[in-house]
Amino acid sequence: MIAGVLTRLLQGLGVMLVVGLLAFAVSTKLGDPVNNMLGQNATIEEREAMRRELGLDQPFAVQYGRYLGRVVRGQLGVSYRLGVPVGELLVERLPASVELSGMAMLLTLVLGVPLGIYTAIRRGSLLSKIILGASLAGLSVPTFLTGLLLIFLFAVQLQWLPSSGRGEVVSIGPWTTGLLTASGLRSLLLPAITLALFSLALLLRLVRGELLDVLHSDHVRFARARGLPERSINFRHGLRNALLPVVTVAALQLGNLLAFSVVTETVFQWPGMGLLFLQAVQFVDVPVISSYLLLAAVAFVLINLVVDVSYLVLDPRVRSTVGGR
Amino acid sequence: MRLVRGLLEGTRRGTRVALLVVAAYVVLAAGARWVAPQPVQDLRSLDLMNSSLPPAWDADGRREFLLGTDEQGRDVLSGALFGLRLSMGVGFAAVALAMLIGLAAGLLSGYRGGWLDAFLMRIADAQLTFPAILVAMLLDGVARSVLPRSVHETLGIPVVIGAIALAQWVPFARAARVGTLVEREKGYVQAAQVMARPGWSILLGHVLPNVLGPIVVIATIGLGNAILTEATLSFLGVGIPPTSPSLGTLVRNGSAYLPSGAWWMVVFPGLALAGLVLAVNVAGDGLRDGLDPKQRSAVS
Repeated sequence: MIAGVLTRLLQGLGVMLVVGLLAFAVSTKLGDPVNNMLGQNATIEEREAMRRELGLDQPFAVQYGRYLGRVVRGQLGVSYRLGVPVGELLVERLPASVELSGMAMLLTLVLGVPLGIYTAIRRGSLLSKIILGASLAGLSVPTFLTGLLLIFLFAVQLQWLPSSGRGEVVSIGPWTTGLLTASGLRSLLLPAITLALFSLALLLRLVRGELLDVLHSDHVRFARARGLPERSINFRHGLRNALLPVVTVAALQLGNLLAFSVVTETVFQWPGMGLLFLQAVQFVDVPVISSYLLLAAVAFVLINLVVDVSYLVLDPRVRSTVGGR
Repeated sequence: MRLVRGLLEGTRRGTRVALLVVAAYVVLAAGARWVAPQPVQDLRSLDLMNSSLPPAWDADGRREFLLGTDEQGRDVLSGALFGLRLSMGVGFAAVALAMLIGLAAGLLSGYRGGWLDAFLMRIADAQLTFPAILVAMLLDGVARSVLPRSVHETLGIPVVIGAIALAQWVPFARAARVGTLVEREKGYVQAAQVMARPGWSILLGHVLPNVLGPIVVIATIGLGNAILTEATLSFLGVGIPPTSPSLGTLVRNGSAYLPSGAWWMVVFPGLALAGLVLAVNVAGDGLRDGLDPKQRSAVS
């Protein structure tokens, strides 16, 4: 099992090196850094001196090595648009994004799994049909429209909740949190619902589908033939076997939340990393784009790692084929 | 035709209704030029005197603008019809491209096996974790910084189509690969191999037609996603140039006037979009259940 985890770690490292190369290519090959720093009117000698100073006359591999060194030490360059080191920007924006995605994920899990189980077990009931219909609508209404409609209803018409921003935040060391103030929590509600809706609908339908599949399999029929109570059949024999693919998709949804947080943060002007990234793309703020690329890659590699390891822990069959024992 | 009949066999009525709705959307989008009351693409047809009118049933509304107008006096209904044309065009093109890439990769991967198979499937794994929106935004950011502005505007739509296709080819490739692995072992393929037919001819003539069933289902489900992705990108103002507004762009423009109560600029294009995606999703769901006998018995 440890060998399996190690293999995955090495693979993740390989992916990171490739993405790092991509980010490096983006950050150096796009636009001319010498031009950006000296302007159009510099002389050729000044340019050459600058190129030497920046190490741009070195071979590609050396430059890449130095770039990796800088990244590891947290030096991600300076934002063209804001003139602030990208590292500081990210640290400042991270808490808002983490709290929003975390709340959305929580909503997704807390509502998605039980509703999925319910609709699988009470398949024919009216409530199940309503839930399923609503989930199909949830998959079809784009995230930005959900957000706008919620803002229109609750912020513009009813004026119950704020339409944008994080509200009051409290700083705990470098971390700023909106979870401890009333206005922070009220501000979080609409964006979190907006962000959660799509993944909630997806997870619900997945849990239902998997559980239905398992409930039709032979070992469940056998359990039923043995006269075991329904409760034990549904949960001990059914749910346990249905949850494995659910873990994968739930984790992959975390990646999707990261992507869609760009949308939600735009709609609600939420001061997180997604909004930062969108503005960077629109202003061609290359250091921010390449840093976000790196950060997203770290997130996805970590997510995949967690999924794979959870497979090893949860499913003995995978353990025996991957672990090599 | 046999493929179509085979797909529809055993599907529920809801699926067929959804397919009809999709067909109606296609007709409306294709005929936007003739159906739309106002030729909104011609800027001379706009009159600022008509700006920000509510729908016709409102006391301030006017009969010739059934769903109201936007801030430039553009008829919302006509704008939505033309936007629909663009959204559907991009969606279909992206799915077709994804299907081409996926089929090529999947057929090769399954037929050849070996290192090529391992290599392609690793790429597929990596691709699957990276969401379409981020891929498209990155591509657009790169295109924006490399290309001059005018070129970028004309390339906007192809870049979006490419980005969505790049994010969606994986399910096609996996389905085609699995299908090919099964078909490869069957007698007729081996007979063709013995007769020394070239590999590409066996793949296209024998294997391809037999793996198409699931591909059609994936394409339907993928279409809903592609349309949603395009709309989201347009809403964010990434990719599609604002001079040719898709449904997402219309919602983006309208959202600025939402706080002042002009809901019709957002709601109608938004509903058109959601309705289309819903119909496509219902159709895709139904087709999948129809293909999978286990699900069919579970549903009925």
